[in-house]
Amino acid sequence: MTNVSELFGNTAEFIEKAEQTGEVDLGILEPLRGLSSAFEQMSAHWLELKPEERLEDIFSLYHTARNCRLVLRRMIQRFEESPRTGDNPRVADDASQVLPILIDTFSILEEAKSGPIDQSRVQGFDRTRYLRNTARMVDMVPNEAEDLAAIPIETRKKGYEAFAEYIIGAVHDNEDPC
Amino acid sequence: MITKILVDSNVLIASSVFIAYVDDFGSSFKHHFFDDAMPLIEQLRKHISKRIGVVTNTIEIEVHGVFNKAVLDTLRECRPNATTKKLYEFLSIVLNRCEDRLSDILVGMMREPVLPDHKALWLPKVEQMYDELIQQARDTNVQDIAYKTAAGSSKRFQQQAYDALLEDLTNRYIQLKRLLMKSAGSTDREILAEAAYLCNLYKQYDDVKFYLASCDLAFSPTGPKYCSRIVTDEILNRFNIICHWPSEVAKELQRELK
Repeated sequence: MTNVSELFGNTAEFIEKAEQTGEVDLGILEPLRGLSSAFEQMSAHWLELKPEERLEDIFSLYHTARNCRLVLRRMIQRFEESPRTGDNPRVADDASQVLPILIDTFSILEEAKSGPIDQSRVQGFDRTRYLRNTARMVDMVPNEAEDLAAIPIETRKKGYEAFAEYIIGAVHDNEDPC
Repeated sequence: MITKILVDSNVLIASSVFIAYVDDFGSSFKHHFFDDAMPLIEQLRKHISKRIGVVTNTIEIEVHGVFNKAVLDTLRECRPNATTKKLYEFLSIVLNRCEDRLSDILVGMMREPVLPDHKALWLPKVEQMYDELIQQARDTNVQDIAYKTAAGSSKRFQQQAYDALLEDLTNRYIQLKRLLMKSAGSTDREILAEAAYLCNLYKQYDDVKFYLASCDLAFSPTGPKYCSRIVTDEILNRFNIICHWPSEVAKELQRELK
């Protein structure tokens, strides 16, 4: 399997070339798909709670890895469609905004795998927010409606009920105004 | 005169928790104060050039903390009965949706810096106010007040007078008495101290009407026609801050901007 650093390196080269020439080479799709696969494996790693790990650490790392994969999904989609949509080289400029964050995040997630997890370094939820806010500004976040629809209805129903209870209880037990 | 509205964390949370169902459930999933919060958020966005909506770092941090905790608590509760992958994915989606909405809402607000030293000037005054109010709540016996007041009525109507007075007083003292069960938390007090600092700061430059929009009874009034407002009035007297529910602040704002 191609080293992830090489995949990032190749992606960066394609982006740089696209920015210089004003044309996107669809050869970029191969390293991007490799990166997406790497982040998918990373997400899967954090699905299992090991006895010495805390649930909040595991979930925040899973959430971070998953969001990196989402950004790559959108990036792949835009590059694939660029010949037809004329999103070229705009897509390369936009990709260059998020690529450094993805590189940095991958190395931190990789380091966290060998444990122990240092949240002051990982900053799982903060890091995801930073990635998403940047990615949203450059249209690098996909719609998750299909992902949501693919979740079993029972999981969603119970999940919404529990979340509603906790979000209301976590703030204040306020009475409705009369 | 300028208007400034400090938006409490519970208003931001209420307006951020919204996920539209398009398939199975037939209605949207939203916070139970969502409909109360949104008119204000929309007003602030509509009049963004006037720079009315304000938040602080304390407020933002609290909102993120609440989202993270709610997701983790849900995970703990649902984990034994759901496929881990699907549950994790679901909660990741929910968290993304809430954070994205929050991010869009915050774009329409000004983040005002409040240094710890500045907050520290006002926090003792806030603490003192709540200490005094809690003591007042302990010392107040509404049955006694109703009895003594009704004693002045003619004997024939004393029971009726007592019943009516007791109901009225009970309503009026809801907000104050609630402090005995659930006083303003430490973050609430910090937020009020920040509000006091900002109100004082703005007043140095201009005539200002300063609101704190909140769904928290430690600030905002309650009861029939908002008759229970001892804490709210005390905040106004001591700090010149008008506290109210976001929907009511939105109505006030609409009146002012007509």
